[in-house]
Amino acid sequence: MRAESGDGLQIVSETQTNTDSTLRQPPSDEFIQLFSRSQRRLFLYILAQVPNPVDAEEIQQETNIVIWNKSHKFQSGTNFYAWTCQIATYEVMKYRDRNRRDKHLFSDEFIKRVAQETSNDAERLEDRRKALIGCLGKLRAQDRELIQSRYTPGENGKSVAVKLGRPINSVYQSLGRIRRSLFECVNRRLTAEAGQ
Amino acid sequence: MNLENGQFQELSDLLEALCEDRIKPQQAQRLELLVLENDNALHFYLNYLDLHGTLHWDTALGDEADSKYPTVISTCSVGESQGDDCASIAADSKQIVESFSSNRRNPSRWLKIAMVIVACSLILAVGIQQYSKSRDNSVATIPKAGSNSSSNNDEVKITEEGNRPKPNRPLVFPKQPPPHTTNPKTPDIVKNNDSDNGNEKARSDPNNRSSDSIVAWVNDELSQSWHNVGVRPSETASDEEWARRLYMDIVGHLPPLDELTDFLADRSSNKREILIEQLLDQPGYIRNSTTNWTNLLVGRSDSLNANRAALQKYLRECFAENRPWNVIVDDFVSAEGDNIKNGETNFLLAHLNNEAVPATAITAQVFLCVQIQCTQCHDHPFYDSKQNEFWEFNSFFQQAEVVRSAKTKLVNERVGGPTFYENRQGTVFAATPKYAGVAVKPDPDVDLRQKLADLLLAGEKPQVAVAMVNRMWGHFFGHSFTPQVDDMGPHRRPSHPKILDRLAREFVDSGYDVKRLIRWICNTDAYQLSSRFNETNLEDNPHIGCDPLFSRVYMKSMTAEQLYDSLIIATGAHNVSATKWTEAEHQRQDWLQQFVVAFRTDENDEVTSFEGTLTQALMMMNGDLVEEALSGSRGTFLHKVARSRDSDVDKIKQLCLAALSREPSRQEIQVFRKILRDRISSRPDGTSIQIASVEGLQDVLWAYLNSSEFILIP
Repeated sequence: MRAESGDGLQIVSETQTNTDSTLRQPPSDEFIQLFSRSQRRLFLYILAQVPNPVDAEEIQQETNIVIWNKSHKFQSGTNFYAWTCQIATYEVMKYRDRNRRDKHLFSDEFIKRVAQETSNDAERLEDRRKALIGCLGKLRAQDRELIQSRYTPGENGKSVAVKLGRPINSVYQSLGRIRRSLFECVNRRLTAEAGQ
Repeated sequence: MNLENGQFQELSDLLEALCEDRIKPQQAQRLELLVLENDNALHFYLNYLDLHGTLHWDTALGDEADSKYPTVISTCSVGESQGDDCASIAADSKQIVESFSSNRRNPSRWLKIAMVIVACSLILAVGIQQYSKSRDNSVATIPKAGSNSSSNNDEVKITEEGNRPKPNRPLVFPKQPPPHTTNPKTPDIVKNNDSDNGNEKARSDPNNRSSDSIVAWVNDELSQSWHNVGVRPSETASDEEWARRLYMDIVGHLPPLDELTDFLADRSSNKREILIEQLLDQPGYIRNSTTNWTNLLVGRSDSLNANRAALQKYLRECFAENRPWNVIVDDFVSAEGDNIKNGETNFLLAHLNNEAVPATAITAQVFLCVQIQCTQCHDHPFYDSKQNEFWEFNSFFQQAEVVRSAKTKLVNERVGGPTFYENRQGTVFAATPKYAGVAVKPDPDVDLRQKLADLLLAGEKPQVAVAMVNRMWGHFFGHSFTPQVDDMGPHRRPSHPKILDRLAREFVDSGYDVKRLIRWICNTDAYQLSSRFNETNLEDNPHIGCDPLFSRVYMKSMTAEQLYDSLIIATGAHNVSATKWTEAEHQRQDWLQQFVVAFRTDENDEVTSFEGTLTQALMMMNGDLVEEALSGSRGTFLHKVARSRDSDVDKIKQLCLAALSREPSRQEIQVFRKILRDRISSRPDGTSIQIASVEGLQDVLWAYLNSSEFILIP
């Protein structure tokens, strides 16, 4: 438990008062379903504001703790995703506060704008994902392997280059090419589907 | 994304730097500026990070990614035959369910998180032992509950029994579900294809084996025939030549530079087979097939009653889902409805003028590869086909009416009776519907066109199948089994009757599977050959009248559409912006119109003035797109090549590969290097080296595009 997390302390006190009077119900099945279904979207929401996936995951873990602890506060039938986004936004702000201001890549204004736009676009995410699946299948075997290696947890472009014994820039080029072609492929698929 | 090319490139570079954690502060500032000032840039940013994030998330979760989230739905249940995919999907789904419960190599990420949370709450919660124990249980059972219910909730169509395809290798997923058909005759189709589907599933594994055996048989037949006439086949085409040919034949444009270099660098022994598969999967295949068939069915010029765009939409659906050819022919012949919702009506709508004479002739030409228009007025001069046969065929179309109100519709009038015609002496005759010896009573209650469609497709080896094989073979090899692909009467004996016969029967047996037919053709040994002659096969030159031996692949000329598409790709103009399909179609169609002159004849003939010369094409090319791409301004391919730190030789190489799909010869390199140097050394005062070098490269690219080699398909 993080001592410096203001929310955490609050929760402790809440729980402690509650235990005396009532036994808190475990989260409902519905909540559990909603929770698991929203994980990926939540990650992407955070990632748009904090573009490093490792950092984004860290923030997501913190967000999940809060979500779980505040599960009783969620009103069934309301927008779960929006609710979790609110919590995530707060965690993102806290994360930025913890890190030094001059190390920030983007301004607060950027973060706000991006957050606003991402939470609007939830519908298309699943379409994009499906399209990506199809596009991945079309890559040449060696391209797919490269992407898989690159996105293996703990790896990045540099580490993969070292493992393969290839010059770093060449690997960056290849990854860029593959990502761009996946990007274009996904866009094409979505456009084609929309056009029909 | 409607961004300008310069911005697109810059954003792309910045995002790449961001993804690999090597973005500098001033770059980040620049990125922020671009994103905030332009909504399109903002979406670019979001979508790119979405891609990055999804790759990260799904890889990190490994095999379990799919089980939590509903994946690609196969619409096998709709009944459309999807061949191999259906079978493997059904097989795999059982594996998924099993593999998930047994695969605990990587505890899922959020299970870890949930455990952390549980741990926290255990620490936090004082005196709620009971509560935490029950919580533990619910957490532990989450995976199962989560996956089942999430799949049920998210996608109504997925059922438990597993329309959930998933191979064991992560990140390799099966194809997308096909778009829905708007065909009003769905019940019939489902009925037809259920039996096909059943057969497909039964032969799922043997499918590949039987394809191999068919190809092997053709290889044997051909090599026997070469031996018999004492001819040696030409050498195998180089990878460069072959790739260029395959791309042209399947997707209708030359290979983009990055795809080409990948193919050339690939060392696998079966890379050609793989490339065929990949190209059949590209949207280019759909687009190219749609273009070719649209031109065949309704020509290149616009017609009064036919809606070209609707026809193309229908064809795109067909090729996207690999609809069986017999279903497509049935659709076209028996089409009914309005010309927008029922795209297939547009074929007949374009030709029902003049008492359906053009419809009769063109139906026979396109689907049966038989010329019957001369017999409209008299018996065929060359073979036994008589005038009455033409009108008997025509008689099937008598119920078809074009209704023009708010929408244009093709309807069936409930009329019946004979069709009257005159011979040249003025004697009037009566004809009633008859095809291939089968007479149909022209009752008002009988749907004559549906009957025709049934007759056209009846039997083990209908002419429809033979015609399609002849046409496809001709498309790939540059010459069919007959001197003219669509003149297959009894007066034209096919050059290889056994091969034609076997392929036609196999085509029917496969359920009229067009992609499979293409695979058979493209995987033959003969299709791998070069177009160059050797000393022994100089007579293998069907274009000057000899019988084809297929001991070499015959050179083809680019069509106008292929030229347009190839120019766009060779100059990198397609990287400028991802325009919508319909918009790109409009642009290309506009450009093509200047070559088409429609002569109004009774048979709806059309002549194109496209002679296939590049200069002509470029002179009339008024597209901003290509002009800009050739201009070498920021963001274009030319600019990228100029800007790179590669040597002159490498730059010339890139341009040659992009335009001609091959490496430059030593002589070319010499000549072009000199041109580049001269450009720089003799540049006018005030012109930077950068600009002069771009101009030099423009010269090089232009020279390549102007060469006759560019316009020929090896």
